[in-house]
Amino acid sequence: MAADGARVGQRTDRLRTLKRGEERFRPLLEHSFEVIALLDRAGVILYTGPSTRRLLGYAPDELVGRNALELIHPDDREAIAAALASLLAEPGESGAAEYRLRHQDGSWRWMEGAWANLLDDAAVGAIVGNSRDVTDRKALESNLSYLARASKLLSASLDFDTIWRNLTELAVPHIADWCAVDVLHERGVFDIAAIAHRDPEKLALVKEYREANPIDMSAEFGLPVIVTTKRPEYIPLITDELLVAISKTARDLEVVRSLGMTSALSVPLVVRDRGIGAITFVTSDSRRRLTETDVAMAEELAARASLALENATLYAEARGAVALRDDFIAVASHELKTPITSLKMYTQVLGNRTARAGDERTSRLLAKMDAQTNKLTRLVNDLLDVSRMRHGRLEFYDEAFDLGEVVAEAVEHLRLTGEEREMRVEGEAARPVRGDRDRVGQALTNLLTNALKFSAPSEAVVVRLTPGTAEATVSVRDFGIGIEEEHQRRLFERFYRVDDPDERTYPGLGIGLFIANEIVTRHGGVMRVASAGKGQGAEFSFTLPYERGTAGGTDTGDH
Amino acid sequence: MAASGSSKKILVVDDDPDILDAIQFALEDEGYAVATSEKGEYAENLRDDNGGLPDLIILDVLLSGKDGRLICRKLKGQEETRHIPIIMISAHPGADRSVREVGADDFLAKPFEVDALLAKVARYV
Repeated sequence: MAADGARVGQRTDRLRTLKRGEERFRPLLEHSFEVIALLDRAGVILYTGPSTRRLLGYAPDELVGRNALELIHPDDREAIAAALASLLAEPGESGAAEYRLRHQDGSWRWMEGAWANLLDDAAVGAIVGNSRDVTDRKALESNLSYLARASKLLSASLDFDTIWRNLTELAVPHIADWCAVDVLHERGVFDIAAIAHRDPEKLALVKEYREANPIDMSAEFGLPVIVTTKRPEYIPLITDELLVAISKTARDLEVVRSLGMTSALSVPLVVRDRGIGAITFVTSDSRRRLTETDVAMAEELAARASLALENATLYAEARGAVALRDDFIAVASHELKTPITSLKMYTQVLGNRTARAGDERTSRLLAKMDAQTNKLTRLVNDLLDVSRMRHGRLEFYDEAFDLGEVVAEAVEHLRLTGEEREMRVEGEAARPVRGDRDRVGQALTNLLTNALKFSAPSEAVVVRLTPGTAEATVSVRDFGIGIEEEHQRRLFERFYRVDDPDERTYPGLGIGLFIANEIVTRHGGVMRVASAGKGQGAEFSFTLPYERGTAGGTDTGDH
Repeated sequence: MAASGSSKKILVVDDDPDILDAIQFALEDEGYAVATSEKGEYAENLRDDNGGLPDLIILDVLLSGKDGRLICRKLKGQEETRHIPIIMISAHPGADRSVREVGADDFLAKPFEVDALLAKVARYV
């Protein structure tokens, strides 16, 4: 009993000493930016400095006798209790920690505290701590990392719907309890792009209200003004009068009242300097209001969203432009075929007439003219093919077929159009190959046409088929003017034309060869060119995979 | 060739006047009587009065402002005109399937060989 009394007496003495010291250091203590506290071994507050009122809202004496841990945020308590325990283990030990303390008004403040165990110090006999309010710094850190995350998320997609979704996810619940994105439609009205509410039940109410109250474009406040002026509208406190003012019907009022809106903010979305819509943030939790910091965050979010939208718009426009060009080429080829159709008919009618009249010479000339219109037609079709190929829109069928047959057909087809030079076919494929029969025929025809073009009238063109393990090889050999090595590499580029200083150029090698190469590539094959040089002719070859299950040797099954 | 009084009558409908002209030349050279029209309405409103119906119709798929396939479907759906063979032509080879679906008897992709056209006409007329 006496011992206890002595201890209490000691403590009282110490406190008196402190108080006297406090008088001396009062000015220092009062203006401190830190909360100064003394705790006993159990964590009970013995003393807090005068700055406590300013920083935490408590009268200094108010906290004496309470356990410091009570004031600490439940989520931080365990860590702080552990820190306290380790502090107690070592006399003279000091440590620092971050934790949240409850302000007198109920809000939480982030504190950064430095503590020392001076229990065994005769002059102090307590745990001493200085704590600084770092709420703003923490908020800033949190906001910065939030904005970084927002940037990443919003820029990750070029799809409008995904951007809206990501935007509302970022807004709720971080900034507000619910959020709506409105986009100005071409027709001059607003479309709701997205709505999100923290409380799914309330979401239905929000939708009901919005649907019943489409935005009045002539209004002098709200979204139309925000989008035109590109300035935000901030209502820090929503009063019941305001609710009454915006409600047209009793049901409206009922709905907005039950939504419990406490504050609202609308921020414009600006793309290429034009307001294209707005994001509206609303808090509906009675303890929550949108602060100036929230306004800043919301504006930052809107800026990032606007950037994402601008990119998405550019992307959509680029794709539209490509689609337009595709259509243009399709329309152009269609249009080109019209005069070719009548030209061909006139030529053939004339040819038939002169043939009937016995004028063979004239008939032959007209037949040559007809052959030219066929070339025109092929070029126009090639143009269409290249355009479709470029955009992955060329259809390829997948079937097994006899390569030898296709080669024979290509040769025959050229023969029918008047080709008189020798075209020899040697070798065989041995097994059916797999791919698009017509496209392979097209590739062969292109190679043959090129070979014929660059051969002299007396020279033949030889097509050779060679069987392999997993694939067959086709080669088209001509004995004409050949191709120099430096040109061989670039030959398959789309519109590459070899320019020879002797003016023996290779016109038309461009499209035909490009298409042939594309076709072969799509079949999983490779096209090669070999030429010993000028005057030595050239050989183009490509491979085609055999039909699965028929290949000899190892068949990995990959084609 | 057959005397004009009993020669077969062919109606050609295409929105390009030069194609109409060329087809007319080709068909008349073979002894057919040819009527041409650039407008789809003419074919749509065919009636069996003074002059009679054609023995064959050559019809373009893409007419200005009209889909030739709809005209074909209409003609094939009418009691009066159902029996008239229709050959449809188009610069788009893929139209072959869709014209069969509306009842066309045959199809030719532009540009076509005159002989091919004459062969098909001879087959149906």
